[in-house]
Amino acid sequence: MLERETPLRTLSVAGGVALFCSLLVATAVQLLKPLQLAHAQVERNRSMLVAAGLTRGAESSDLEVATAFLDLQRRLFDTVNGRFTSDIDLLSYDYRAAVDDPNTSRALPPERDPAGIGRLARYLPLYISLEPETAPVVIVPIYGRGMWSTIYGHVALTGDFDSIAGVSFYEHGETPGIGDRIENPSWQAQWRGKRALDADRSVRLRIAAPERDIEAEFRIDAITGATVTVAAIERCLRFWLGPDGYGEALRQLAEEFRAARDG
Amino acid sequence: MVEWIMSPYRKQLLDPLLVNNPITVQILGLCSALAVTSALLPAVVMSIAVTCVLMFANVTVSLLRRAMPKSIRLIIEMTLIASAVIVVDQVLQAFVPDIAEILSVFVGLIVTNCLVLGRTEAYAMHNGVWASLADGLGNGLGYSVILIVVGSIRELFGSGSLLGRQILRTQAEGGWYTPNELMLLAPSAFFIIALLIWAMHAFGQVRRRDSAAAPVRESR
Repeated sequence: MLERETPLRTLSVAGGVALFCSLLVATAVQLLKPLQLAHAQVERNRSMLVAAGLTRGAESSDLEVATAFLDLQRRLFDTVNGRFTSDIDLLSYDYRAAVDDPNTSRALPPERDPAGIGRLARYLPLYISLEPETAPVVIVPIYGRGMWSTIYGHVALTGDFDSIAGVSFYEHGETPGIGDRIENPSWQAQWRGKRALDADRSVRLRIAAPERDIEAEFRIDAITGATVTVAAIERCLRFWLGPDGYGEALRQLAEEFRAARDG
Repeated sequence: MVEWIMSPYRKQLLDPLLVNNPITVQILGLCSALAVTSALLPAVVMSIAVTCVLMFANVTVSLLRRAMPKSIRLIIEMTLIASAVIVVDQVLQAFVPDIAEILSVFVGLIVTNCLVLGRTEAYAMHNGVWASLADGLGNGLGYSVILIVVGSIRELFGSGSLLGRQILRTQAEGGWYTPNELMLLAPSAFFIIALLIWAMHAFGQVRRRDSAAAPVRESR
């Protein structure tokens, strides 16, 4: 047997173990990635349905979520020419991936980027629920920089797509016990029925303490201790429902639905 | 069955269940035992995770025990353990993402669980592969027994349920049981584990500390 403590021996054992371990870890990560991504996708869709109140939340099975998601009408809005487009299949379109590609996104100047997202995808997805017994609901994904992390969520709009039907957040890294109370269902419940846009379709919704001089229909209670997170969500909404986000898409959609309703 | 009882490794398998239990006798791996036992299901998943890591670490360290240079022995053991933990963490995130979220950092912290390093150092470094595998499995099961007992007690009295199924109807749901919310907090695990340690030392045939500390040397 070789001498145990020679430098060469030490190096070769260390190298061998390192190689073996890195192969093991890399293989596991590569093999399991599709499953983890699929799960992330289901959770994203579940959040969308939760915002619109179309699911029982965590109790719904993955299959129920997938079925309900496929029942939604999908639309894609082209922010460059300001129209809905059918050039791209929305089922295979991932706006979060599109943001990273310079060909499918553009940089936002800081003064027009209240959500702190840096880049905006050219095509923005909208999901429409056309349940016969309720008014149509549009669900749009929103995200923005919070206190520690990017907060991802969905907001659902109803009426003339100016009032909120619900909200949900599915991915964030806010402070546990403080900022993460944005996930609290009873806090999210008070969003329902609030008006996000005023008659001119500019964003009026504020998240603030009750004593602030804001009409109740435009005000959502802030969360004590989570000032930064809550202010970030307010800025995020201002951006996504405003002219640089979904503002124009929602206006056109509301017009389209009004025209269809009036015959 | 007979062959199994006569198996040369039954001591390695059975001793850690009670007589030389890793948690109550060796007093190793307490941190995670406190953290993940507020309900039974995460405790079971954590038990499986720790058992897999223990078996993998014991087998690989035992295989390398003759080749391992003394100067980097601990580094190599930690590398092997950490790799196993990453793989287990990835598997949990892929197949049981909801429970992986509950266990959060505690899966990653198996790396620093002194039980795993303790078994590789005390046993696998001095014993053959099959004996080390049996020792890893035995200690994993010993750890699991305590986690499952503590997890069951805490979930039953803290939420009135077991594996999420309601056993004691709580007052909130129109029943008679008032959940003891202390059971959902980490200190309750301290009390339960302390009582288990006391019970095992008072009534069980616990191996004495000095003999447990001396590892069985492999004959060369």
